[in-house]
Amino acid sequence: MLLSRSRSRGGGQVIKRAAYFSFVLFILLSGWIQGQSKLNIHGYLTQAYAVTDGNKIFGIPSCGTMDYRTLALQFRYDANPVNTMVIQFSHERIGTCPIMALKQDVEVDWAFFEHRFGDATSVKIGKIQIPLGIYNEIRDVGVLLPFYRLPYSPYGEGNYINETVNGLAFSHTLELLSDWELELNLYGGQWTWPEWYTFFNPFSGSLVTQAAEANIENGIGTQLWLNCPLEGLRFGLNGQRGHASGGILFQPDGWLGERDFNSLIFSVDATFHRFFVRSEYARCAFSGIDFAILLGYLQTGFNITEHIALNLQYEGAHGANIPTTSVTAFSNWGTRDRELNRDYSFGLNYNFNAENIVRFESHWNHGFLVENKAVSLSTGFPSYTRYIILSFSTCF
Amino acid sequence: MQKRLLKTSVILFLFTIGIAEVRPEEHYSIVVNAANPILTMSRQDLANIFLKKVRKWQNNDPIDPVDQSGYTAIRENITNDIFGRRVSAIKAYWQKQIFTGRDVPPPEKINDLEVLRYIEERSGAIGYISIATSIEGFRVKVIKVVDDE
Repeated sequence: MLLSRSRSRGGGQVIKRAAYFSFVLFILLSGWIQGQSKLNIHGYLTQAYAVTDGNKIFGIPSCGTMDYRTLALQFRYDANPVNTMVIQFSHERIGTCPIMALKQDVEVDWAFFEHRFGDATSVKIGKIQIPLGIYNEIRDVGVLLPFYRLPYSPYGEGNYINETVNGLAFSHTLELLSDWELELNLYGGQWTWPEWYTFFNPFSGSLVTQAAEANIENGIGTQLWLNCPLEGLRFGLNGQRGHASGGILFQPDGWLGERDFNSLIFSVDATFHRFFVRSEYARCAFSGIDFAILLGYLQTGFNITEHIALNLQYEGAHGANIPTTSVTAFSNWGTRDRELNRDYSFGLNYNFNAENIVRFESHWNHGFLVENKAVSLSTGFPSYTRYIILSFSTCF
Repeated sequence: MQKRLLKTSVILFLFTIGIAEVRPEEHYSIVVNAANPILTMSRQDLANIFLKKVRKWQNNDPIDPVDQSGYTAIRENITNDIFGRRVSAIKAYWQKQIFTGRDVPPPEKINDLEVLRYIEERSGAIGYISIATSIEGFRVKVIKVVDDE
């Protein structure tokens, strides 16, 4: 945690001010140092306005919100050609999303030390971005994304994918025959899954939203990318496993209880000069039960002119063998399959240049992700929600 | 008639997806430090150097590429010739490298003079300048760009 959240008016305030002062001083000094040394400073911002037609979803209320942004500032020090230290601070607002209860105003997004062995191999240690699928490492970098929001399936907040791992990562690129290339990434360590859940409290007669982080221990994973001779075409496969505990669902008396998980993600990324097609399919399963979550999306975009791009997206999530009651309380009490979420998106982007983009997007959602209703995955009814996001992204 | 239609369609399709690239006339010179023994370089090697996919010269010295800033005509010209892409596409590539923590792009200099000064001061440096710019008075040399094998 970068900044103290202490509410005490004495020492807490002093610490908070000192932290802010140190941060600002660090940034100012860094500007001077950058001109003199091997320090590089980069950053990005995406500011959005978002509104829905009724329900509250992804932190967007029906009255609209400007409290929707991502910002990051990165400091990178290349001590020499083989050793690098990188730290990135981030600030993210997701409107009224329950996950916001878990976020600080400013956080250390990631921070690691990297050592390179030649041109093709590297090892990182620290808090490292997880190389997972097409978008996980760039999930908040607006200038690189066709839509403000990544597909909820599989990248959504609280969707059992995390951005970083506290541990180690190894990367190696292998040149194959005839311009084929295999990129191998391995990672391991500990990470967390943010979770949120809305339920009806019969005693108070009101909705209660709970947010917590499940802890993943002994997590390991791999991401393979096969780059084809046709530049821009690649195929990916990610596999990861670990032990989940705590949070909401993985409490000893929670809906799923403490248990192991494994997940697979298949990716196809075809990005050419004028258009792209990207698709990913993910499956997350848990030990000891048949319950599995299947997630996927298909995305395509076309540059109508040098500056204007049209993007379309379909995404869906499906639950297989959803327990009709708590797994930990009533084992094998009954299961059912059901569609959890479906979202159609249309977007129009105007690129002033590679660093500045304005984006309009409209989404039609049908599912269980609304935040203003308590829904049961096994017995509840899905909701229809339309939401619109207007955003501006920039970077340097 | 049908053949012509088919041919036109194929060309249009290739043009649309960006495979069909017309190589522009070269308006640039590739420049290295005078101490560098290299005399020629292929386009593919240049692309790998400017994308930092290759980081060392044959004698194991680090390669120090230098770019020209913004969306200048010379940068558009060399980017189109070497990468077969627009500058904005290469900038997007670097944004991805930066914000995944992998790497940062080569330093950018505002004009040919600054590029020449940079290369003169660093034995492993390589950059490009306008073909019309004289290198006289700088401890640098121009190398020849050859077609890929």
